[in-house]
Amino acid sequence: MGQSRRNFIRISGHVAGGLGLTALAARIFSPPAEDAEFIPQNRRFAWQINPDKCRNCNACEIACVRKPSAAKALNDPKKCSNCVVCYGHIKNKHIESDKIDSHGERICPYNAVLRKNFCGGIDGMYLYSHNHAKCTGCAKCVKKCNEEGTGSMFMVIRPDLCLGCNECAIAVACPHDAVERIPREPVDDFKGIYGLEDAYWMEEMG
Amino acid sequence: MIRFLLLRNVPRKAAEQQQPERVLLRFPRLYEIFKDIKVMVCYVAVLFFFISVSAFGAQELDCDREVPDDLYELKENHIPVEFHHEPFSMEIVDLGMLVLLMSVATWFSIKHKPSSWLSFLMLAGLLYFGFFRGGCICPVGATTNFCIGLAAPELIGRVVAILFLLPLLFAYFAGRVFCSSGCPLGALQHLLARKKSVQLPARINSVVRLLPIALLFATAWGALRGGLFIACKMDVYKWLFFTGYAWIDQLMLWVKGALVESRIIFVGDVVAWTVLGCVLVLGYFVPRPFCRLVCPYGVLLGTVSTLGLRNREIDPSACMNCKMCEKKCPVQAIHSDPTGKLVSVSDFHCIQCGRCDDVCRKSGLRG
Repeated sequence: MGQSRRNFIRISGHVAGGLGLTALAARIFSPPAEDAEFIPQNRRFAWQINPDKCRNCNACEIACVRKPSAAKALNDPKKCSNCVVCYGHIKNKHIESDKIDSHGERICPYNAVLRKNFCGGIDGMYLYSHNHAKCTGCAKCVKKCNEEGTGSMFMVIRPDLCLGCNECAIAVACPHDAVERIPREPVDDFKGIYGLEDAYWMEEMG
Repeated sequence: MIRFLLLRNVPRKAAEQQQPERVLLRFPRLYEIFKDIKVMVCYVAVLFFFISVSAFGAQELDCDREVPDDLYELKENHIPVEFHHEPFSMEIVDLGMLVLLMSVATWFSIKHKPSSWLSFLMLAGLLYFGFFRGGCICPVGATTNFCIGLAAPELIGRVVAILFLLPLLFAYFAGRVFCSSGCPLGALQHLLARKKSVQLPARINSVVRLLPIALLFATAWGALRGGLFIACKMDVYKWLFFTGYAWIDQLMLWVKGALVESRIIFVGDVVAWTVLGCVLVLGYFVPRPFCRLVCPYGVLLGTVSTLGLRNREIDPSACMNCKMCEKKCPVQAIHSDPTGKLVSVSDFHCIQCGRCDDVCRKSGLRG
């Protein structure tokens, strides 16, 4: 009698535990709610900076557990105005064009902003990009570009460098809640949807 | 603007009402109109001035350089520089690797193979999950992620949920084999522990065993309330795994000839590494401190394996009460009653590491 009672309790325990776990699993694998912000598509998630909310403080550089930080600056070449004097490149803007490379005081403490002449000689068009091997994500160039310039530079968390912590240290530290947990997607140097006022060259497209 | 002017006239009218006898103008109405016109002309002039200045300024601000055709073409045909996450197939490989490791561990454990075989399995798990994948199979993180998933299923990937549920499934059929094969934290602690371990006193141990249960509830509460990763903050080994992962990543990039950062990457600060060093030293003497003091996932695994089908038992007829297994057990799952006659294994705490098989001279362990 005692044996059968023990067996009964044991089996009912199994059934209850199994049902509980099945219920939890069903909850997890259920389709997302209708008002969900996005559909997960069976993928894992990653933390990424929302450029609309980002105010380019240097929290990414300081907070990221990885040193140098996985957050890097990028320049959107479609949006860039290709100026001779780039606000994200040098501090002393009243300088002769031919002395920028030699005498310009760099914004970037590690000289990671690359400047390359494209056409038009010394007062022509310049291409700007970032050397990510040197960039630490301090966002000084991005801040200058967004405050005074075209706003073509922006910060991203490079997914191939990101360690994928469960709780992103940048998201905890970010004062503007700009770091969001979104489905994994490749990150490119395209800042976002352009408005007409954003870039002068868009006028030619009509 | 007329409305604005009318409003401006109100206080003057009030002044007139106060002292009506002093105002004796010949053409008061004309004067009023004239004054208003003067003000109006002033306003219009200022307005025109501002409009012209702003238009002039806008002309100056606008970049009037013409975009050359080649630059225009370059911008049009620009191929974006893309940075990719690891492919989804890597997660399937993770799942396969986990199943493989746990299956082999189950086989070793059922056949009572020597514990050194399981140590090699742990080493493989540590190298793959710990350093190659950056501590990806983190039991702590899986628990929190699952709890977050219960609140909002769209917030976690389904692979994470499967990673959470698979070891529980194995625990039901074969005991906590995940702890002795797949878990990188457990493997690190197990491999760096002394064979002749320090056993905690029974009274302290019975109190300390309650900590993970409390932490499980704290983790679930934190995750459901606000996405807090409470237990993740107590995981001190992650700095080691992250650093190893970053170094392997940089090495692979260097082989490819891509990005190489100028500084040596060290994940975590001085405090974190000091704590890690202390815990590693503690773990050398007292085996598996994290598993016994912190790990909330171990509570779930233990519960399932207690309910589960496979129970490790000591054959009373073969046992000669030498208590060697009790001294060797890294998690103190084996305990004898005060008389020393009856030695039993706790399914809740047993991690199937096979050390008791090593020392038992009579091969008295069953199940």
